[in-house]
Amino acid sequence: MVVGEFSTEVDVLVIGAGPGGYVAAIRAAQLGKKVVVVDRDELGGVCLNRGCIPSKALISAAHRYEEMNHSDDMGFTAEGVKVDFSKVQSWKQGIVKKLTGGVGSLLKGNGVEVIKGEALFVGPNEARIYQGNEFNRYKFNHCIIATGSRPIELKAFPFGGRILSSTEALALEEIPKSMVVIGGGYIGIELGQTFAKFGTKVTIIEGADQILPLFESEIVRWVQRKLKKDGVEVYTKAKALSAAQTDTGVAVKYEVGGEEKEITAEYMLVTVGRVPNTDELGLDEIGLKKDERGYIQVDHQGRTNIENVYAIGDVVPGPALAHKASYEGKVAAEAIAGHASAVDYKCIPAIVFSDPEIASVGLSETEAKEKGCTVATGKFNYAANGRALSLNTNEGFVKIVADKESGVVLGGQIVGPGAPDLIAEIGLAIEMGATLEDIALTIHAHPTLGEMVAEAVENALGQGVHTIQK
Amino acid sequence: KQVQVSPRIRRLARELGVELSAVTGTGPHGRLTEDDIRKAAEQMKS
Repeated sequence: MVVGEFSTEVDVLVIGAGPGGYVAAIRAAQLGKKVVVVDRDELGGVCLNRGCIPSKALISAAHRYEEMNHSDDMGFTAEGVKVDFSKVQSWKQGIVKKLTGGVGSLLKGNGVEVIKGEALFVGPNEARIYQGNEFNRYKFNHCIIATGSRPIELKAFPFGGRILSSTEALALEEIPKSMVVIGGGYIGIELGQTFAKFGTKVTIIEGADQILPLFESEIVRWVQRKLKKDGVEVYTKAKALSAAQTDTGVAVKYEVGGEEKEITAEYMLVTVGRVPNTDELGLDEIGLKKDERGYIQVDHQGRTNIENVYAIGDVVPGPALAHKASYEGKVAAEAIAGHASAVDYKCIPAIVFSDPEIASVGLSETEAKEKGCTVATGKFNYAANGRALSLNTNEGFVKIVADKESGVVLGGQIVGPGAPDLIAEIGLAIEMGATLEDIALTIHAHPTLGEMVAEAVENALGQGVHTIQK
Repeated sequence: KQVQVSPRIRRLARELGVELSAVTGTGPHGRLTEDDIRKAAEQMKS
């Protein structure tokens, strides 16, 4: 067989096996399609290999270390607690391997063919899949582009050597002595705080007037306070200017309050956002429309301007979140199979595994008011929750936002341990169009952190039992 | 005032080609029920 001459025909070609791509491939296969999924790297994409999963593993290791050293108020005194960071890393890699292996089994179990290679469109119905310099041709009826995103590289701070993206930071073999983090978004905060807990001297430089600018200041305040306790220095309204690498470190010049300063650290971590991987697919050649930032324009089913080509996940506009990508993957696969599926959600939860953890879904109080709603809000503090205290935590709150007249739940914000899990109930309430009373009349198990959602709701109704009503 | 519709009912309406804004809900607080959607779909046929 001459390479490149043989053409395979498939129903659906999925490009990318991240949370969007592999879910789309499986759903399409469930609906009876012959599916090929191609990825140039490991299965699972950024989330499993270089994002969500490895970062959460490192975060929980750092948290365990912190608790081992600081549980004296519960009667524990530990001495000489040591971190074997290479073991932490191999534990983390074990989790990644287990999960990527799981994705492989799921794809295989659903009859999806997996190819390791790079896809290049040569027409609206055909792509080449390169494996090294050799390629095979694939003719498809439908294609789903799910190629994800990569860290933004700043011209002044090209990745390499001591200037790291999140990918390299997650793979560090040793705990750095010091690190400057450019960008106080969720990735910068999660990684910065994690290394700080392991003992790294961390400095965060953020351009906006607060870190985690997408979250409300009343929430972010709690994280700022803990960062300070963790010894992290945070500069807001600050701008990194230049970096000079030496054999042992990197000297970073930055500007804050109109003053130029310099700091030297072992590493510089740049986490200023992500850029869609839409530049090496031959999209322009087949006339597929992108916006000026490289995002692919799609309709309510994920269809691009080319009828049989769909795009999902980080390559389309919207928050770059794994759960959004997976949702869109199912919609696209179902649409291809002729179902009347559509991107039709009221809310997407956003979470940060900072310490304390934060989570938000739906509208904030400010956003609801901006939309012209008369708002009822209710708050409940961790300090008044029995389960929280028995977990030795008393910092944080649950806040609920509802339409005052109808009682329909519009949003929720949580800061405190467990926030990423607790937010699910509020998300369901919003999707169902549930009212405050619906939640208040649902029995929540005692003692649990989840009770705080019901208590916040009761406070919004002016009838909270464990809060003095004024 | 926005009528509250659960995800399952929204999907059903799409499958049956029913425009949500054209249906009067008979559920609590004017919620759209499965019956409402199916009846609206029937009416469209006749």
